[in-house]
Amino acid sequence: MARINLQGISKKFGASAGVEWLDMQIADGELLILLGPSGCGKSTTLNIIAGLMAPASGKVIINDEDVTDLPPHQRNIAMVFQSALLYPHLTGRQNILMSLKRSGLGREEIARRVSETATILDIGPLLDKLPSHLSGGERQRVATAKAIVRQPDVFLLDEPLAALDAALRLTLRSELVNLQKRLRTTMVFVTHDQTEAMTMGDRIAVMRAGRLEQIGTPDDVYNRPDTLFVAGFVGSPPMNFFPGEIIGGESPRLRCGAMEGELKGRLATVPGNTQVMIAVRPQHLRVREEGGPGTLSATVFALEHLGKESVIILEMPDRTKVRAIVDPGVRAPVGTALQLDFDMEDALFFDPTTGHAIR
Amino acid sequence: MAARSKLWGIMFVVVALLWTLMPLYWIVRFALETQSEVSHFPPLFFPPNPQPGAFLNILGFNYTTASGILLPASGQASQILLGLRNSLILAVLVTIATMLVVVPLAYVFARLDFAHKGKLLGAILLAVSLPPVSTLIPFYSLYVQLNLVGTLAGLFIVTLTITIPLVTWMLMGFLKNLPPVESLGRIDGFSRTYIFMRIVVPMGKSGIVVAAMIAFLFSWNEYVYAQVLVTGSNAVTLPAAMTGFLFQVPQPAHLAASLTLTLIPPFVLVFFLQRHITELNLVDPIR
Ligand SMILES: Nc1ncnc2c1ncn2[C@@H]1O[C@H](COP(=O)(O)OP(=O)(O)OP(=O)(O)O)[C@@H](O)[C@H]1O
Ligand SMILES: [Mg+2]
Repeated sequence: MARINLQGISKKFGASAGVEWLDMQIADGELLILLGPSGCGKSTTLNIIAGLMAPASGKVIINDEDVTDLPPHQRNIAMVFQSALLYPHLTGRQNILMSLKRSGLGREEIARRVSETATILDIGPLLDKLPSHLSGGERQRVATAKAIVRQPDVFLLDEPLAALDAALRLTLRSELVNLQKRLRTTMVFVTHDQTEAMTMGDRIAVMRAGRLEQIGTPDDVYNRPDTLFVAGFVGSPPMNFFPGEIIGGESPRLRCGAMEGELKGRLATVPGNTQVMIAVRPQHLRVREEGGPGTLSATVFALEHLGKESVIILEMPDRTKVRAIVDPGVRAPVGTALQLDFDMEDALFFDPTTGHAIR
Repeated sequence: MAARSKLWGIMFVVVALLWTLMPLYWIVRFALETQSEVSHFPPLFFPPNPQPGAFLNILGFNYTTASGILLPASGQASQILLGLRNSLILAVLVTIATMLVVVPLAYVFARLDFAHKGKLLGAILLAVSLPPVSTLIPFYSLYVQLNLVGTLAGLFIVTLTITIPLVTWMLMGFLKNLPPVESLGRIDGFSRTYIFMRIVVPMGKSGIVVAAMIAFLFSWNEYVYAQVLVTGSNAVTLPAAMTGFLFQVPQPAHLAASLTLTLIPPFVLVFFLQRHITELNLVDPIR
């Protein structure tokens, strides 16, 4: 049970900034995902929460207590590292026991907790094996057991599933969420996989180059991205971007190439003749063979079959690529000229210079 | 195709084995023969009457062969015995001292970050690239003034100057590849000392044992410094003592027997520690 509060955390590594001015509140019992591309400072943030790394400035507050100067062990946290790191020379049981060695618990309490944890995670038969004799999924379970046996206030997980194959990740991620909801322990989970983030998180913190871009529920981040970066990073296939322009007047209109549409009250505060970036999800693009006036023309670049639907990749005249979801039966030879359009209601707008959302 | 490459593989192994074992066999053969059998022409491939005379001779005993020839004890016997004793003492002490210094040193360089690490590491590794001969004369003139010529202590110090950088370099590579257990240990609440002594050292046991073996073998085989610093003194080591045979009436059997003698400890060592040599890849199977 813990609330975590990060206040103005900064940590530089030489010239490259690990994290800069990070402010974040994590609620009690919440599963927060740290999401971002490689090198954006996710691990650095997690290590600072854990106390493995000291921030250059800022405070880490857990349950109203400033723990910035406390060593990891006194923060009552547990951490699962990348590829489920365990002590390779110790068996599963010994690995789990190491978590309690400095806990000051009695021998019986320790034995009770280990067997209880082994039951929760169903790892009884694995306890006497060395990590090198366990499969990836089994190692993951033992590493999770090692973390929860301490009954910590906070779980920190750094890309624990990154090294596993797709099917196993799917199973383990629902198991982890289930476990977290049952134990109601605050969890911070690092990943660079946006599907993992969308499916697991109560909230998602999207990071980029050491800064927090947006923090919110999966619904917020997906449907109301604050920045162009978040819009492009979250969602698969990714969002499409079209440059456009607002034409002011009595009822402001939006122009995007040959397309023009009513704004119906949106963007009312934006003055006329402003350049904007229009973002549209692939499922909101309509692709057709015959266009009328007011459609955008493009040529087929590739067609990807996903089974229940297909993704068609189109090349615009300015050579940017656009992805649209189409029916699985669609056949479109590469090079075919097609027309596309979308409803203005489905579009999001961003300032092309600052990248901020315009609402 | 596969059978053919397998055949080549076998042939390669056979050639490599012959390459290594033939000279060894030749020496052992000499050691088991009498003077006249050694000088037989054409050379005898198998000793006609193998007997351990030469081994007993160099250890100071007379031996009478089955056919009644008396093989007298070697005049070098006292030197060989002294060398054997000194070499063992020196190699054990060098190994212990090297490991006491090198394990923490290699760990710090392999796993921790600190100011000027690169320069300090460069200074250590520079010593690996220096040929021993280049420091021979400075050491000798230093030792004359310090009265360390002809002492085991002197040879001990010189040998450490070689083993420490070399073994540090080797062990660093091994320790670098261990998984990042330090973070795990700190989360579990262990001190740095505990993590080093109770987690990293047991985890890196195989690498450390092999490193110790290298230190032992290096000291055991060290010849250049021993030849200059301790020959003819009470601190003579086995390689230096053996050169005594070169200045006497040629006794190939004695020379061969003492060479064989020097090979025994390394063989025994490698035989008992081979498990660690093959276990060297004790690293995270996923990484
Ligand atoms: N110990 C370190 N020394 C120097 N630079 C570092 C160190 N740790 C991290 N960095 C740098 O800080 C930045 C953020 O690193 P961090 O490990 O937090 O990224 P990440 O988001 O976890 O990325 P990944 O998804 O690749 O794990 C990177 O540019 C990295 O090069
Ligand atoms: Mg990382």
